[in-house]
Amino acid sequence: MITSVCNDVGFLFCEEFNDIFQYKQKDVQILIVDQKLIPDPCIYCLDKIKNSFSESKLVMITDEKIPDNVFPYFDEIITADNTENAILSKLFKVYNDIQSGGNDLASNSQLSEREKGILKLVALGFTNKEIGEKLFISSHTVIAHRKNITAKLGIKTIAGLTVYAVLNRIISSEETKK
Amino acid sequence: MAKVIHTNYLLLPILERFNITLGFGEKSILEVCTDHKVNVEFFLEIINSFHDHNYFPEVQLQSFPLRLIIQYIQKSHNYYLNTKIPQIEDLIQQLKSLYKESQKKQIVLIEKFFQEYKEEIFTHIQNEENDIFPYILTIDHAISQKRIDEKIKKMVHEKSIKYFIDTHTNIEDKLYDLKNIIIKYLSPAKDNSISNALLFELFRLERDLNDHARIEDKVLAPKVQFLESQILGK
Repeated sequence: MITSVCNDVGFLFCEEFNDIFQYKQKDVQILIVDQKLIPDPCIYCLDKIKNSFSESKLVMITDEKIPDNVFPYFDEIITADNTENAILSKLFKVYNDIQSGGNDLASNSQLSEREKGILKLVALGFTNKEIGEKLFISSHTVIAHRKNITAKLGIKTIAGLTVYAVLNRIISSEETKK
Repeated sequence: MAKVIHTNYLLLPILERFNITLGFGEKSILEVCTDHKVNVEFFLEIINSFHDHNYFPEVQLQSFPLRLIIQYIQKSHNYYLNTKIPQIEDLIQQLKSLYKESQKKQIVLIEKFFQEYKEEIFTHIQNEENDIFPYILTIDHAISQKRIDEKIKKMVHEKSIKYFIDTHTNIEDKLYDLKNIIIKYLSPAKDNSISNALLFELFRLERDLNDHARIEDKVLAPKVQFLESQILGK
């Protein structure tokens, strides 16, 4: 699946959590972590990853509900119920971020990862209820996040948020056509 | 009349809506209005409420005939569709030419967004002109002719103006979004002149539309609601 995103890619596998750290930052562009491999306390281990691979993109694979405080560590989160297309588009996005060097003038750093995740689903046309179901949160929480997004960006309509999401590569313009 | 324009040049498009052309020499407002067969009281209330946002004489404005108010609204519609929107579209095209190939798709997004916005305005205006205004003029006519029959009552039940109130919000929000996207998130072009011109036009359009919505919501709608209650005998 990954090779369909980019074909000039090399893989490194680790069976144990601590094995990750034998690799150097410059060799790792994307780090895909299985949640099961992260020992407790989880946040401590995530900090350790973030420190060693601050330049890398972090992707988590999980089949469980993720605590809210884990989200900010990852650029993307792949869940067991993601379709193949959804997973591909997430990997694409991470890959594109690396290609574009992440130095856009219009930086989207002011939104949290969670907000970006929600913005993405809003831009793809999902309702609050659907977004809540996908992210395992209540639709009230989704609404609260959306209010914050609108307040931060100064953009109220779905069409406007979609333009923002494309400009900032949160989604690709191809995705919006669906 | 010349003084009016010197005081506030933003009133120029309003004059146009009353079919008042430039070149008024030393003529007073009354003289110019008489020349152009414009109701001078109505003209004054409109330009004053446009000039000073705190001045909004709902009651006086409601005292003018519906036909006059609708005529004015239709003229503003023409102005949006035939002047303002093409102007903004043209500026978006000019802006596009400033961007290099790799960034052009950003402007294409803006273009598409504005296209959608335009369609919304268009639907809104069409709905008013083809459905709501004829309805208003029909019930106005029925009342002045004192011919209130079951057919008219049924019509009031079906069409009632209350369905039309509050359709402006989304149109305002989209314009607000567009301004913010251009101000905050679009990669800057080589120079600002076109983006500035575009923003000026968007701000002006927004202001004009707000005034327009205010007249529809605060003057036209209550007036029609009053007529409706007369017909239904409440």
